[in-house]
Amino acid sequence: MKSITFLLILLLGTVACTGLPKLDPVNPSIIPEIHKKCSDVFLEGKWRFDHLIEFPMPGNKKSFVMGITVISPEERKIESVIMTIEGFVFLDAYYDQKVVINRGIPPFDSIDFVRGMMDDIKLMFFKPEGSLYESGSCGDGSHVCRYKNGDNSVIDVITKSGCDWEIRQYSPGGTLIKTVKADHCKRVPGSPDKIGFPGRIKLASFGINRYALAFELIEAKRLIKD
Amino acid sequence: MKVKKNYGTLSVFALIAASWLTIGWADSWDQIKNAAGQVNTVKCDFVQEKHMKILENPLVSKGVLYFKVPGSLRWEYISPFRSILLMHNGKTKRFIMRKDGFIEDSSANLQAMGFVLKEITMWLNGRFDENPQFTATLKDGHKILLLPKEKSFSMMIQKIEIMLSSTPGIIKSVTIYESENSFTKLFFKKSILNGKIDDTMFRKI
Repeated sequence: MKSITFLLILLLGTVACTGLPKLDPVNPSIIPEIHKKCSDVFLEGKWRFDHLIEFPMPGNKKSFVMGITVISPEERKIESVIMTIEGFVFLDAYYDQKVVINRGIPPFDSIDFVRGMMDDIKLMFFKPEGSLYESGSCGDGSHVCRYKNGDNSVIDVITKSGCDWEIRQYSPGGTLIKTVKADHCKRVPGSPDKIGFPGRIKLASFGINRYALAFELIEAKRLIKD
Repeated sequence: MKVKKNYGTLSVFALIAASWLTIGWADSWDQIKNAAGQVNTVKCDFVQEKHMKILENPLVSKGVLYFKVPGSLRWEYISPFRSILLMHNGKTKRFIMRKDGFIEDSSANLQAMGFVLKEITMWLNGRFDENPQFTATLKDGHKILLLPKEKSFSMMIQKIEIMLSSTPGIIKSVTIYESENSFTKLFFKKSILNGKIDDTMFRKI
C-alpha cells in the first residue's frame, strides 16, 4: 500500500513538473509592455544566421556542424544548409508551405528529419501562429505570453532580464515537448534595440525522441528581400 | 558504404595534400610522379570560400595548413572560429575551440579518415591518375580536373579543379564542386616547401 501511495505521489509530482504551469496575474497596466517584449523576441524581415551547432554524442562526447539559415518570418519561409566545418554540405533544403530537399546526404536526406528540423527553426525564430490568449508572470518574475493553437497545443514565450528569453512548447495535453533557451546577447545591426540578439540558443526536445542542440552564433545578417 | 558517404568531406584534404606532393611541372603524369619525391613538407596559409545559392557573398574561413610525408596533415582554421583537423599515423581527430579551450569533435564523418589516408599514400607516390575514385585529366593552363567515376559519388562531389602555380611544387587553388552553384574554393599563399615541421604538429593541438 505504501509503495502504491509513493508511486501515486511520484506520478502526480511528475505531471505537475512537466505540465502547463499556471501564470501569476500581473498589473493590467504592464500587459502591453509584456506583449512588446515577447514580440521583440522574434525578428522582423529577412535574416541569415550562421551558427556553429553542437550536439551531444554517446559517452559524453560532442559533435559539431555548421548551420546556415535564412528566415523570412512574414512569409514563414526558411532556407537551411547543414555542412561540415570544412564546407561539405550534408543538407540543403527549404520550407515554403512544404519541405523541399535540394541536397541530402544520409542521414540528412530523410524528409521526416528535415520536417522536424524546420519545425525547430520555426519554433526558434517565428512568432507563434496561435492566438495570444494569456499573459502573466512566472515565479521567478519572468514575463510570459501564452499562445494557443487550434489543436490546443500551447507555446509560452518567456522574457527574462536583459535579453535572455525562453520558448516552451506544450502538447495539447499540457506536456512539455520542447524548450528553446536564448542568452549571451549580441548587438547586431538591424536587431531590436531593447532585446539584442542571442549569441547562444539551446534547443531541447523531450519525450521519445530526445535531443539537445546548442547554436552558437557566428554571424547574423539582415537581408534585402528578393 | 558508410565510408563512401563521408568520403567527400575527406577528399578535400586528401587531394590538397596530395597535390603539393605530386604536382611538379606538370605537362605529364610522369613529370608529376618525378616531382613527387622532391617535396617532403608543406606549410601555407589558406583562404576558404564557400559559395552557395543561400549566400549573397561567400562564407570566408582562413587558416594554416601543414603537411609532411608520408601522410601527416594539420588543417587549422583561425577564423571565423578556431578548429584543427589532425591526421597522423592513420588516426584522424578534429578539435574545436570552445569557451574552455579545445574539445574533440566526435563526428561520425571522421571515422572514414583511415580509408582516405590509404588513398593519400598512393597520391604521395605521384599516382594521381591511378586514384580509383576519380578520373584525373591534365588540362591546359596548369589545371587538373578530377571527375568521380561512380555516379553515386558524383552526387556528392561533381568535380574538383586544381590550379597549379607557375612555381614548381605550389598550387594556387582547389575548387570542389558539389553542384554548379555550390562549391568550395581554397586559395593558398605563402607556401613554404621542405621546411622543418616537427611531428608534434600532427599529434598535438
